[in-house]
Amino acid sequence: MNNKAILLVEDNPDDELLTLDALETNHVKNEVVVARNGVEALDYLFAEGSYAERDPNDLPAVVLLDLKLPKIDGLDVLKRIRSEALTRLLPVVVLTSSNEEQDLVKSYNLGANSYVRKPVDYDEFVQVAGQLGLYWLFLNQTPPDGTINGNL
Amino acid sequence: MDKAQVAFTKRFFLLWIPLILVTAGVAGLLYRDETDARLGLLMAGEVHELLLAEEIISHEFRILSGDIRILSSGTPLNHWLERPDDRLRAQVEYDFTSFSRERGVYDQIRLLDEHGRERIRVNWNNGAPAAVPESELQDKLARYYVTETMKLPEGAIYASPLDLNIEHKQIELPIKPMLRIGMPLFDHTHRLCGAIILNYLGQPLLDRLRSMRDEMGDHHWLLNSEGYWMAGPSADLEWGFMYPDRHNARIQLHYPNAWEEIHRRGGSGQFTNPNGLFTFKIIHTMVPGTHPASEHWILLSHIPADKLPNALSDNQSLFILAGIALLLMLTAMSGMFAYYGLLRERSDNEIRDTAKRYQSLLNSAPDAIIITDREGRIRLINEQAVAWFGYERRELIGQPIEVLVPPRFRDRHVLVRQAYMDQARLREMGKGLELFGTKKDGTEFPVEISLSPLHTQGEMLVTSIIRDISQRREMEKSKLQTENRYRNLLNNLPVGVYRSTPGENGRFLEVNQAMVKMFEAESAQDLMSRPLSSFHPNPEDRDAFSDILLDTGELHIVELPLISCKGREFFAAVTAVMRKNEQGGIYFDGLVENISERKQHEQRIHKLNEVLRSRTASLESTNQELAAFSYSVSHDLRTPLRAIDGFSHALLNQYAGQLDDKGKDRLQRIRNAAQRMSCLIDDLLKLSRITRTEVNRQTFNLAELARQSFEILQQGSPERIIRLSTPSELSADGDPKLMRVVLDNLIGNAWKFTSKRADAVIEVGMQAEQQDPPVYYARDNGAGFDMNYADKLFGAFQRLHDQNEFPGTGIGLATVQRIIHKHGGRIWAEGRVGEGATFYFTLNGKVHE
Repeated sequence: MNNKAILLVEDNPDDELLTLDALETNHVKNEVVVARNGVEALDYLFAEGSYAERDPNDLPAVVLLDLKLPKIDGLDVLKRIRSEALTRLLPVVVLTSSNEEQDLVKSYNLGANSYVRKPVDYDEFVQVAGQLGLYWLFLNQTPPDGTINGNL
Repeated sequence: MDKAQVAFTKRFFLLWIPLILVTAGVAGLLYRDETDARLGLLMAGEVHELLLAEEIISHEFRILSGDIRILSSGTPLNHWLERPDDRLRAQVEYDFTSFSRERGVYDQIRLLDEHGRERIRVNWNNGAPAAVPESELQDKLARYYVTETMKLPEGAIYASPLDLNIEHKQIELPIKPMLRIGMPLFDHTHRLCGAIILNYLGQPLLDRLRSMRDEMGDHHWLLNSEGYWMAGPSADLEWGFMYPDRHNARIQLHYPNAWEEIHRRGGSGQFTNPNGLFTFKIIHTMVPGTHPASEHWILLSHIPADKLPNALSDNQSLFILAGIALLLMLTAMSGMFAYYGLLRERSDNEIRDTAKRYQSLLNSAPDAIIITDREGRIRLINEQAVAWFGYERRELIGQPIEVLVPPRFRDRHVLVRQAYMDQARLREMGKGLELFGTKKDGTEFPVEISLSPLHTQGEMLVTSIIRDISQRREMEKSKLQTENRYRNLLNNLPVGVYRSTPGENGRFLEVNQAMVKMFEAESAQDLMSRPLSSFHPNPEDRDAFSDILLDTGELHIVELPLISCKGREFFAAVTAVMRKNEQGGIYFDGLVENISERKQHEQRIHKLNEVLRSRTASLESTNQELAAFSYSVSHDLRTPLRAIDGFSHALLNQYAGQLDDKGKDRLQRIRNAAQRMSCLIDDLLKLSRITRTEVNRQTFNLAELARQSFEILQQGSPERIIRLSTPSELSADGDPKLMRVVLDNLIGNAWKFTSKRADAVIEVGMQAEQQDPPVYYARDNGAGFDMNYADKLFGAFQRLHDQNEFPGTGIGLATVQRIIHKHGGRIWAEGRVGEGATFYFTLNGKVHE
């Protein structure tokens, strides 16, 4: 069991609530940090702005990233994550309503680890959340911390 | 090898080869006859020789037989036998000695008593025969020939085999072939009282046999009945039975075949075998009266096989020598004949060639040539003349030339001709009047004639060369017609054609009717009288045009404004080239087309294009907006739906206790509606995405796509029993990605509408008839539809079935139709309620708007 936090980047409070519910339904006990726009997400990850006192090395287990976000959109957030040594290898799952091909292609091109479309049917959504939790928190083996920090 | 050498070689061999073949054939036949005759002679000779040899032997033995009888019947002997006394004995001894000397062939002559003791013996003593003293006489009873003789009846003669004499148990050397002849003696009471024995020396007989065929070598052999040679091929092969180490010296061991053949034939005969030619004769009774019959001998002559051809070798070399001589002679003869034949042929050919060349020169002349004599009679006429005048050659030879002149000129022609003869000189062609010839059928044709006198061996002839000029006349006429035609063509052309001079004072030199009309001139002359500068509203246009034309030599479709004679401005397209006349003067040839109308059209098209461009731009921006809209719909419209569904779910789960069944039902309906709207949005987006997709054509297997679609459906509901029927290969030309969407929809529909059938079959294929473009179809045996609503099938959100029965959004077929239309294809459906539906589509054809 991975005890690290999950960073949920989601501007819509309804979706935020549904996601949290779905994770809870699947007994995911990890702390879920919610960022409501791109700026907030980056602040959290790089310990800037309102998160300035945070330890930047304490990275979340996974980032669940919506694409359509105010201020800085999801793809830009992903680009930034992949360009910084600290977060270069951080698992990022794009979790969005869109199934436009261009979004899919762009996300993978920018280095998304996974692309999941949020289903409208809540039962399916719960299933998806469960599978995400199971995979990224239990099954997935992250690289050793040293590598994430780029101190090879 | 040059041509003459080839001709010579050919001639030479044509003579030489048959000669050689015939000679060789005759020589071969002669040679063969000669050989046969020689062989025949040889064989007959051998037979004759043997007969002779036999005769010699028989004769010798007849004498032997006679000798012993004479000796035994001598009176002193008989008296001495009756009353032996010394006087009689001496007489007998004397008789025997004389006899021995006289005959010279007896080594010993013996008289034995009845006990086999010698009473008298006369030894030959190498030519000095003498009686042996009584004291030296021996007892000879032990000798086989004595015993054998004593056994004989009265009158019989004994002959021993011919063998070698043995003295003191050794073969006497030099060898002494010996034959012993004995005869018993009886007294008057017929009591045996002794015997006479003669030792006959065989060597002289054998020598005689040997000497018979000196020239052929020692071929005559004498063999005894056991096959031992007594006279044979060599001394060491003779008398084999006498020597213990010579038992192999027998003919059957050396010539077994010959030996067998002799015994098979018996008597006498002649045969050849691989060893050569054998001639033999078996001689039975050698001594008449011999008893019992003495051994038989075999006289044999043998000519070895290798000596048979040898017999002819002299002739062979003669033949070869004669052959070579003949060959050389024939070769020389052939060469000579070929050479002289060739010389003669060449000179003949030269004469013939000259004649032929002359004839062909006459005949190949393009003109008719007629040679006439002083009286105007035709002497010679060439092919051309014969052909033109239509007569046979023999009809004209000897006729007066006037037969070829039209009747109305004939009388005058005779006079003119006679005048010419008196003052004959060369008259060239084309001088003087127009002349006519007349054909056999009476038609006349224009001619030109040249005359030249020809002086030969005291006679004057005239050569007329006649040229048919009707073709030239025709050509002149047709040239005029052609010129008229081109002038007409030029004047009828709807474009202006002109020729003009360059420079400041340039004018038109030639103009066609179109020019006159275009420039609104009174006439062509009017137009040509005006300076070119008066037609240009902008003098700089004209200068530029002229400069470029002088510089580059030609101009293509230059558009410029011009002014007509009446001052009306119009737009013209001018094409012109620069030309130089023979004097080096420059002029321009050109085409002018009034393009005012076209100019107006162009301006309108230009304006329309502007409009089109702005419309396209706005359409593009609309498209972009639509894309942005779709994107937004995709993202934003679904988010609230998820909230509706999610929270309804939360209510149903977390507040179930506070809701009655009706409340729960309503909440469930909210959820269903939200999910259905999500499906609608997805389908709409798909449809709009397809609208924006470019068709990327390639050849692909439609059947394979159908199978993929089908498999996914089958994986989704493995419990359904349904069959897909499709050929393994169904080649199609289109965008496989889009066609996959089409098949997903069509097969998906078929799948859906056959759900109530137990024997569901989906069929994807191509119509059998060769059609262009090919018609594909997807068929099912499901619920089908009412053909009255067929036109509504492809409208977005149009559904023909109850949502409860067969759920769906009604966008699938609209999407399918859009994809087919994007391919430039057509789609239509056939069906009946309860009997299934078939969707036909094509992928090529006119692009559908």
